[in-house]
Amino acid sequence: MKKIFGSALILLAVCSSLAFASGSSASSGLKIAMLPKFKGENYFDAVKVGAQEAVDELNKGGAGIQFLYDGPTQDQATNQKQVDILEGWIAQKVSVIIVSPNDPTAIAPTLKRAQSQGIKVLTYDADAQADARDLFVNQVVSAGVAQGLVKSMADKLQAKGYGPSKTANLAIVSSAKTDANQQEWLAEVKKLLASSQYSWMVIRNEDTDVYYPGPDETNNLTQSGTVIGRMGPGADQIQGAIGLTSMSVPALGSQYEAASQKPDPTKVAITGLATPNAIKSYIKSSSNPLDAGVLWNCMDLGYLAIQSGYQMSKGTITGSSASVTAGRLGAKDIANKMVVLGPALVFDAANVDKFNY
Amino acid sequence: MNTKKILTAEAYLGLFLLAILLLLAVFTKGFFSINNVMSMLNRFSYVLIAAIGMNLIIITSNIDVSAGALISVVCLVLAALGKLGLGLPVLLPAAIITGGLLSLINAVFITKFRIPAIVATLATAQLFSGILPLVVEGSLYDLPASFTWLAFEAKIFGIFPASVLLMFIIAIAALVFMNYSRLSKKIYAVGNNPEAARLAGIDVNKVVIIAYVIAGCLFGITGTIIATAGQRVTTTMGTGLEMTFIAAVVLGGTSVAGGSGKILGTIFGTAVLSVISPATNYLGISSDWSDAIMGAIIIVAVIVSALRKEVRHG
Repeated sequence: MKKIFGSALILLAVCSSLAFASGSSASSGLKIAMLPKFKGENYFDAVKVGAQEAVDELNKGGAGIQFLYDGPTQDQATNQKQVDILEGWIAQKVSVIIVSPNDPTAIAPTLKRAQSQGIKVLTYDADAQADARDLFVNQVVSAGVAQGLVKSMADKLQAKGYGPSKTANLAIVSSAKTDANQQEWLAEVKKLLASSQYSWMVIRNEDTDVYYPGPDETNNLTQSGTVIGRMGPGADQIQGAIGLTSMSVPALGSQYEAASQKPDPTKVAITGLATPNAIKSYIKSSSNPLDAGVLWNCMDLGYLAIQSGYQMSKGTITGSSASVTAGRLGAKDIANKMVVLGPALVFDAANVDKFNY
Repeated sequence: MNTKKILTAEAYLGLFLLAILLLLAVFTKGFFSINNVMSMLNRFSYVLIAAIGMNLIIITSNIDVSAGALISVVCLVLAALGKLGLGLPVLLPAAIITGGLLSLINAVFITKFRIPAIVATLATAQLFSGILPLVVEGSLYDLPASFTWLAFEAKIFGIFPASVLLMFIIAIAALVFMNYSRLSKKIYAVGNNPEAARLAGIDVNKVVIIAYVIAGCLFGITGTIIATAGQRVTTTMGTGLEMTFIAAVVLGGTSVAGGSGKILGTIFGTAVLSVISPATNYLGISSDWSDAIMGAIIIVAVIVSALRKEVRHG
């Protein structure tokens, strides 16, 4: 009797493990792989939190998603490193790849190869060549980013006495010249500065007043230090500094704190794209001229990317669908194989505590 | 040879630096503003402190290409301690010890296992920078105010960053040490001819190990200045810095063959390199040029020093 019971138990165990194995390797064992530009920095970490949230939510509903996340380190944020990781994922036949490319064209051949093997390819945060992906999950259209940045800077500068009758010089701290996002935002910012509404803010010399420190932290700090050194009320100085990356804005804030003779905070302004946590202490400090930041909801971006990727692999939506119903975010329109999360978010001392990323 | 009235290599470099500074005084506005000078001095400080260490290593006819990765490790150790709310009195000694220990690993590979320094430190560079991503994902951020005290608050006479004071102390100590200590004589001797040094009764391995450990401690101090400059520390804070240190040392007239090289040269070499990048910006030249200009200056310096040697020998 004991023997029969024992062997039944073993049989049961074998069956269940078989069932489990087939269950996870077959259709419901969906592998979604996410590739940021680089790992371990406030911005992409926040996006990842939202992505994980969507995965957990879908798995609770029995989706059986296996979530893979990997990316280059910051100083190795190159296309080659991203391609290496992608090759690995293509080899292990993941179902969905969601990527924020460092170089939109150089990554295209690899993405196309993934597509040819039946993998759904989505871009998020930054786009790739349009024919190399099935959907672009865009946080905000670039005109919206530029609008948020320029308006926020104009408001602060006007409060400090600048305006149509008193021009203000701007400096921009970007990333690398190959960065598609930053280049696009910069182009939009310049468009706005050329409009009559904002023509009192000028970039005097593009060679020297637009900085490209790349993704390296120490370099960002050094070059931001130079910018702070050039800031002041004089006509040959810089009155407003805009950071275009979540690395340069905190660097500007910290270099202002570190400056020996701080430029008068009532005469200069700093703003830019950054995660709220990275610049919270500077925004709250009344003696630091960095008092507003612009961003979108990072967690929602990750959440929307996973929801869209999952539904594409299930065939519920395609790039030419009219909209995607993304869980708690509700329906988002799709146009030209692109879904947009929403408008830019401007945060300052009044609301910065509401965000925790 | 000494009676000949030719200027030393250090003097030439010093004059060159002076010329650049004069040029900038004439052609730029605001270059000598307190803020810009202090921000350049800060960078000068942390590069010089490490370059003095690198100089020591190169004089022994060795090299360290792991210094940048080592500094990244130091930075993250500091960030982890900083998260706990610990301040500079703990951070600085911790950095010095970490730097010294990691550099000791290099020295052991080189002396005990007889691996050429470039190979050993290339391997440890990979090791140091490879371990970090396994421990932390990219960066530690939201560090408290106690962590950034050195960069934000510590100002001598309300103006000079404390990093400059650290640099002064170390530079003067190094000048005295290299000119008057018996150990420095041994270091030069080992670099000149290790076999002869051994026959003269010098424990060559011990001297090399000491040089690496001192350098490691100095890298640790540099790491402290770099790490505490902001509220975020990434796993790649030091990446590529080793080349800046080596460049400063070589520009300062230290021969990579070992056995010679003065602290004063390293000081001037570091100063030239620290000025170039902000100088191009103030001169209205695109930053794309600054690396090329630095490279050109180093090449010219090396060629000039080689020619001078030929003249003297021939």
